[in-house]
Amino acid sequence: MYVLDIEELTVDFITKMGTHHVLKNVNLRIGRGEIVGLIGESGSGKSTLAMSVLDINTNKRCLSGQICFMGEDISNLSQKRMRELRGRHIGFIPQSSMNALNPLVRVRRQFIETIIDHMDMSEKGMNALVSNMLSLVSIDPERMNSFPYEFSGGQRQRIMIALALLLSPELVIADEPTTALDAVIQLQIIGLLKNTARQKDTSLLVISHDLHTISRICDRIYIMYAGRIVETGTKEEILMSPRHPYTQKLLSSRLPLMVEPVRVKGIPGRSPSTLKVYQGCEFLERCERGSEICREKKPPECTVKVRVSCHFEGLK
Amino acid sequence: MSENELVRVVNVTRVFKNKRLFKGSSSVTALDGVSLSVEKNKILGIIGESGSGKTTLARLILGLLKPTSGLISFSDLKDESGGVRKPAVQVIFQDPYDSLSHKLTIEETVAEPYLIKHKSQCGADTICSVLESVGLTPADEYLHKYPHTLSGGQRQRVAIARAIITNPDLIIADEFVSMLDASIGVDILNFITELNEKRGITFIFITHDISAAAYVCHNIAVMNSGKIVEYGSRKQIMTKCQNIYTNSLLSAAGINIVSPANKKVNSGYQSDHYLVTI
Repeated sequence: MYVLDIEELTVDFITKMGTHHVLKNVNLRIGRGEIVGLIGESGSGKSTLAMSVLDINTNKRCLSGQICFMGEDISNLSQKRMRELRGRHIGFIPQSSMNALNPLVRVRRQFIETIIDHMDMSEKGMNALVSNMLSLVSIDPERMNSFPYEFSGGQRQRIMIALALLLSPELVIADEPTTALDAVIQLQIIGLLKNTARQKDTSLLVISHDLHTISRICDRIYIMYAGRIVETGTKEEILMSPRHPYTQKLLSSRLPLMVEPVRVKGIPGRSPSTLKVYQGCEFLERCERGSEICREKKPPECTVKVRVSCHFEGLK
Repeated sequence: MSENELVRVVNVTRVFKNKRLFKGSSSVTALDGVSLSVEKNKILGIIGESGSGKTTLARLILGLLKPTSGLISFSDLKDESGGVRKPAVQVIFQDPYDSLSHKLTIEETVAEPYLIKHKSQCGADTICSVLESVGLTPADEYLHKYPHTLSGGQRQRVAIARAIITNPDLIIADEFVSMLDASIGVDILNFITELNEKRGITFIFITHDISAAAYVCHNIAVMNSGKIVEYGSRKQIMTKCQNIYTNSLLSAAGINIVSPANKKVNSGYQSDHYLVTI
């Protein structure tokens, strides 16, 4: 059984400007204890996927498809049941989570709030759990009575990780956990995420636009472009032999650390509008391999069997 | 001052005092005896973690802050009419989503620095040519747009356009690609190199990303807790770095440097290149 099994998830947002097609037929699976990366550029729908799983940001949203969590379809769950799931079974580390802590509430109180909501536990047990979690992310448990502003950015990020993992949820979704942090601290944070997830046998979905940093901890990677999964594979497959032109360009736009100057090209063009409905492949405008068929027909969807969503896959 | 220097920073210290009403005042030494010279027509990278004093140094050079002690001197440049003048300095800020005014069109945004410097309106032709030179083509389409209709990469190009419209000699770029996607950031970095090569603009490039610095910079200064701990050419920093902190930055960037002798090196590169792998 998969911890998370998303099938043909399509999400539209209906606004005054028209319908935004944000997610299109997304299939994604996460097994028990697996660390999965979801990579895409800004505006590609990564965060919308996370929010659909958590059932937040539902205003003006139109959702179809299936989201199964531990074998249970959660796409039509009641608000009350969803509240029970969030925090207890699904943890969330939000984007710019440095600012996600309530600035007016002591850190300890924010941990205890979560526990009280989901569990019956004695005061003593709660304190023990909180200090246990804090030391797991190498923060001195003595400081649990401090306010968030007394911690540095990296420390706050670690507190958020501890908070998300507090009740040992089966699944943790981390949305851009390292952006806006220094290179050295980034490394610490992703290492910490990996270790804690492994220790608690938690499945982890890491969302990021930075393929190179995140890929270090992932078992499997999904590449997303314009609301569609374009390639999936194990870390080695994606990094060593990328098949989809977008993944190839993404990898080659990495800044090389060369002693002598070398030039790298970015990906030309701009990402497609979510307002438009594309008949063919969304990546066509920026693709060098594009031909007639890409204009007329959609490439095959990425499913369990299909690894790469491109017409030219398997032709060579 | 030698021929090649544009700016020289000598033993500059900056202390921020924190006055409190009831408790005693405390102070933070943001810069501690920093000496640095910025070479003409080169890109100088300043790298370091947050709180290391990179931005304070930039603001001191810009004149937005005054040093507590020490000296910052600018070299004389030749004027078109044969006289001497001081170099003009411009800045590009970190966040393209915040640094442009929401209420001004692109035309007004780009014209503003010109108006301040020359005290006269800037012609539409000049604005168009500047916009075109930063790659926003066709320029007429962008003139009357507002920043919210542009993508992050385009906004950063507008920020560059407003920096180069006054023909500066030195541009200070403060963490200006860290907010962008990698694939867009690379293009902006390429553009910086192009500006440097074609127009001879000197850059001070502030970043915490050592690979971005290694990509564009000729010289790199590494800062840690208010001091410059290492300074050298790109090659020196990357192959022969002495300092532990520089080393930790390099290893955080995920490197092990593979020497040219190693077969792993892609044959497409010349033999003198060191390829770095994940």
